[in-house]
Parts: sequence; C-alpha cells; structure tokens
Amino acid sequence: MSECYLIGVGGTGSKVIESYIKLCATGLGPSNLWLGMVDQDEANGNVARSKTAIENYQRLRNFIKREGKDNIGFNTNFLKTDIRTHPEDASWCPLPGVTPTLKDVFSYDLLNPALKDTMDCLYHTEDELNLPLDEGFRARPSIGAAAIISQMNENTPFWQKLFDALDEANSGKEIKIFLVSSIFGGTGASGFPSIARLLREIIKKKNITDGVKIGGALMLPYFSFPKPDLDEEKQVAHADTFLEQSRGALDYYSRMFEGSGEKIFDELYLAGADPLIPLKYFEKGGNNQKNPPLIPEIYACLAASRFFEKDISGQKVFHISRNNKLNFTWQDLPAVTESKADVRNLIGQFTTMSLAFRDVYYPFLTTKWETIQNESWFDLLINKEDVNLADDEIQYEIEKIKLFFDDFLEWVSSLIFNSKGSENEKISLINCEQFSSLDVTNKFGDVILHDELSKQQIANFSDLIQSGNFPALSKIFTKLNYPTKVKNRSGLGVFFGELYDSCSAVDRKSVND
Amino acid sequence: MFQRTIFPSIIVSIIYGLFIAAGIFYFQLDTFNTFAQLQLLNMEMLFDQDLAFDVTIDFINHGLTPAIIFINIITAISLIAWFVFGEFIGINRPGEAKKFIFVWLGIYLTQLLIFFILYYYFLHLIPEADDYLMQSASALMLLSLLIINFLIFFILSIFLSSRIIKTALPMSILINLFYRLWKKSR
Repeated sequence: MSECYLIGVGGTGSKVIESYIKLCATGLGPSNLWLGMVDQDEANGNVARSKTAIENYQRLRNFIKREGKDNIGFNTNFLKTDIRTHPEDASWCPLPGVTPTLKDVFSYDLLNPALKDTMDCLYHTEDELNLPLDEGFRARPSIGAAAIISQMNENTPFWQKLFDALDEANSGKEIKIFLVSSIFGGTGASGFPSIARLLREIIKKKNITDGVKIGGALMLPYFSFPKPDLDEEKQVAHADTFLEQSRGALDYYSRMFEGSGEKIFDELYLAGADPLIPLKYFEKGGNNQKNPPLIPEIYACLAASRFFEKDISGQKVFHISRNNKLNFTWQDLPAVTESKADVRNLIGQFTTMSLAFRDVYYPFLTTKWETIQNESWFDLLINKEDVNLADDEIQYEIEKIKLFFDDFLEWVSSLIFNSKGSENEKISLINCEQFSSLDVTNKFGDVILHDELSKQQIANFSDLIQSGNFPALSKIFTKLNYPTKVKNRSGLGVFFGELYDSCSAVDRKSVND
Repeated sequence: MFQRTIFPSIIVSIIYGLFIAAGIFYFQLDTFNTFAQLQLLNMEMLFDQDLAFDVTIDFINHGLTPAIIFINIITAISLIAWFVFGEFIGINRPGEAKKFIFVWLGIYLTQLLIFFILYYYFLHLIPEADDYLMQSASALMLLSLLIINFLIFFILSIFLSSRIIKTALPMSILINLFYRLWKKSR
C-alpha cells in the first residue's frame, strides 16, 4: 500500500482539496492520505472552508470508525480515506505576518548594491517589491517562486512529515505525492513547479532512486470573474490575463517533459473549461474569496485518485474532453478504477444516503424516535445495538452527522448549479433541484437546502442520480428492515452502515460502462 | 420478495391446507358422525337409524366439508393479499405503515363477510344440511369458528407479515401505545 500525499497550492489548490475531501467521503480516495495546503493568503475563504471540511471529515471518521464503539467498519467506502494533516495547521503560509513584502523577505535594505540591482532587475521596485503579500502573490508567480523557495526547507514543521516519509522510500515503501494548483494566478502557478523541483532535489540528496512518485494536476483557466475596481486593478489578478499566463506556463511545462531534461513529474494532468465558467463576483483575496466548487476541479480530484490508485510507469501527460458541449453527463468524468461507473455509483450512493438521512431518518433519530419503538429497523439497528437516543452525547453526534451530510449536499448542489459555462448548458449528473436551489441573493453561488422533500420528490427519489440505477426510498426502507448485518459493525455504525449499503446503485454489474 | 411475500404465502397455504386436510379427515371419522348426530343435528323426526346416518353424511359432505374448505381458502387468500399489499405499497419512511391498519382491518372484515356468506350458504342454504342443523349448534359452531379464525388470522399476521408493514397490525399499535404511556408515567 502506497503512502499518499496531496498538496493543494494556492486558492485553486485549496478548492480542489475541499472537493477531494468530499470525494474521499464517497470512497473515491485512497485508504490513507496526508493532506496539506500551501497558500500565502492565510485568511482566504477557500482555505478556511477546506480546513473546516478536513476537520469535519476527521471528526466524523473518528466517531464512526471506532472499534468496539460506534463502528461502521473499515471495509466500507463510506469515509474510506484516513486523512491526516499537520497537527497544528493543515495549511502552510510561506510568508506569515501582518503585511509581508518581498523586500522584507530578502532584507532588501541590507543587501549590497550589486544584489539590490539584481533585485531591481527582477522585480519592479514599487509595484512588486513593496506589494503587500498578506492576501497572496496576486497573480505574480515570479514573486511566489522566490518566496516559496526561500522558505520551504526541512526545518519547516509543515514539510517535516513529508520529508521524513521520503526516507521510508529507501526501505521499499512507495510514496506518492500529488500536487494540485492553477497554472494561472500567483501562489499556485509559482508554488507548483517550485515545490516539485525542491522535492526532486531532496530525493536526489537523499539518494532515493526509486519508490517516490510525483504527480500533479494543473488547472488551466476554467473560470472568469468580473473586472476589479479601477483602484485595485494594478494589484490583483485579471481573468483576461489568465490565458496569456497559461500559454507561457504551458510552454515551460512542455519543455519540462521534452528532451532529456530532469524528470520532475511522473504524471501530469491538465484540466480546464471552454467556455470559461463565469463567476458573479471578484475578490482579490481574504476571507471573502469563497469561490463555489466547479466541475473542472473534480477532474483534478479524480486525477489525484487515479494517480494514487494505479501503478505509475514512465512520464505521462493526460487529457480528456467532453462528449457534448451543451450537456455534461457522467460519461464525461474520467474513471479512477477499471469500472467507469464507479465514480457515478460512489458519488450517487453518498448523495442518496445524505438525502435519505437528512430528509427521512434524521427526525426519527432525534425528535420522533419514541413514536417508532415498534418498528423493526429501529429495533434491529438501534435498540439491539444499545444506542441510547435519549443520551445528549449521541444526539450531539447525530446532529454533527446531519451537518456533515448537509455540507455534502450543499457542495454537490453548488458544484452543479455553478458549473454552467453558458445559460444553455445542462449538467446531467444529479437532480439537485429535488432538494436545493441556488441562492440568487448570494454572490458566492451558495445554495439553499429545502426543508423537506415534497410528495412528488419522494416518489421520484430513485431519479435523483441521472442515468444511474439507484433505489427508491421504499427500497431503502425495506433493506433497513432486513439488514445484512455486516461483521465488525457496532453502535450507531450499524444503522449508518446499513443505510449506506441500502443506497448503493442497484445491480452494479448490469450498469453499462 | 421471497422472504417477505412468497415464503409467508407458502406457509399460510400450508397451514390452511393442513386445517382443511385435518377437517376433512376428522369429519370422515365415525366418532364425528356420532357427535354430529347427537350434538349438531336434530334427529328426533327420523326414526330410521340408517336414514339418520345418511342425513349426517349429507350434512358433512355437502355442508361442513365444503364450508371448511372454502372458508379456509378465503382466509388464506386474505392473508396472502395482505402480504402482497405490504410488498407493493412502497413504504417510504418510518411511521408511514401505521396508517395501513385500516387496510388490515378492511382485509380482515372482508374475509369475515365472505366467511359469513360461505357459512350461511353451505350450512343453511343447502337443504340437506339446513333441514336438520340445530340453531343453537349452528350459533355455537359459528362463534367457535369466528374465534379460531380471528386468532389464527391475527397470529399469522404478526408472525408472517413483512417487517415493513408489521407496524400496521393492531397488536403492534397497542404495544407502541402502551410503551408511550409507560414512558410518560415514568
């Protein structure tokens, strides 16, 4: 079993990390994973959201996978991945502080005149050397590269775990490191190649010849946003320049793969969108930069999963394109395993479970449980497992689980509602209208989950996942009443395990890949 | 489907089939013939012993036997109908099955109505039987059959109904009610 490391660099990298956590919840991730984020913009809303997602995931997994207590079992795809992070902070800020500048980093004022001249040649004195970097590198990779290379070393606590793990490669363990960032922008564009190069240098220094694989996913331009205000225009990223920047960067990466140059990446994945997905707002950084999840990020996530799953041999560059510009279907998503239907089946199963729990079973485990004492499923999955629903702690945990499912449903709805490149485009993955709607008053593309399913929606529950063969609510209820009783499950894990199993795609083998 | 509908239907068919077989076997015994002559039929008008015997045989063959066959078949069909209903009604969520107590009652009362019709038809409309059957014996027999019919219907419903629809059974609703009253009193 390989040790897997995923590092999201920059704002886009953090967004991909957030989506990856959701995919890990569905079972599309590896068994174990160390996650980290690199972002200069410490207060970035995307980073904060990803950190919360990691914490919630770890918390729920620790609760529901405890041997002898509330255990759903370790052989299930439900929250399959054991996600670890740096214990103090899941993200690393290369230049911490209130308003760091490049001048501060290199102690510019103390440099000798020759070095000062070199700095002046490389960076614009006013615009770049004095640029406050507390909200990122503002789409200037040249600044980011200098900052990251100068700060990333073996003594940095954030990197220690990764560097230590590299030593294990010498003892035969396979280490897979996957980086993900945007090719445009500041932190990502600079951090992605810099970190990869630094890792290769360390591998070389440690005389590791085999066992460490480095992969990466680069996000080509895939979204656009309105032009910033005039007074901010000089300091911030422009959607218009993304394409130009990307062209230059692609040229750099193509040279990296051509010829007999140093091998940095074992596999490189590129993903983008055409037309660009329009976002409704612009934020230069900070906690208001909370972009909605978008489908191209799922490509990066699936690339990471594929990289962790498969044997890596030789240098490869992957690309994929969709079948129909106006209709995005499950067929347009790449496979992680041999079965292409797995992506649909696992995401569909988790979505079905989340909605079934939220709208059907949650009230009967919290406020209404005394009214259904005589129901078989309740007796078999709750009473017989000695789950005391009158216990405040159990109620607290159930509430937390519900919030986790809410968060997943919001994420998947936001992904589908916000990923349209044009008005006419249709995203035929999940019928999110059944349980949510886009909050038109909110510029961040947030969604509102409906309070409850209507009669019609209950009747059409099996159509929730498009082109999938998923069970109706009545089938789920029937399966709960006739549980299969999987070994090693206990406590609340028995109910959640049975619910999860009941929501799986019907007759997977017959689904046409 | 097999566990919830086909298997219980087979069990019900076997049980009621056994009732029918046991009934037919018992009715053919001389002891039952004697019992019928003494306790069920009014033989005072018949002085000929052979004639009385023939009348009793007629009563058993044209009255009791078909009655017991058809009544048991109807009850078995009713129970199977309840199982099939439970399979195909599609209960989506907990608590939803309770409302189907009316369906259970409806099926039970319908089979009871058919039970009465069959009983009346075979034991009172067919002249060979009705001519000699004592009113008091008929009433007692009807009462006994009703109690047995209810008990067996009720017990088989509890043990063989699908778990999904079980909460619609009166017994289950009563248990739940008692539980809630007990919880409130604590």
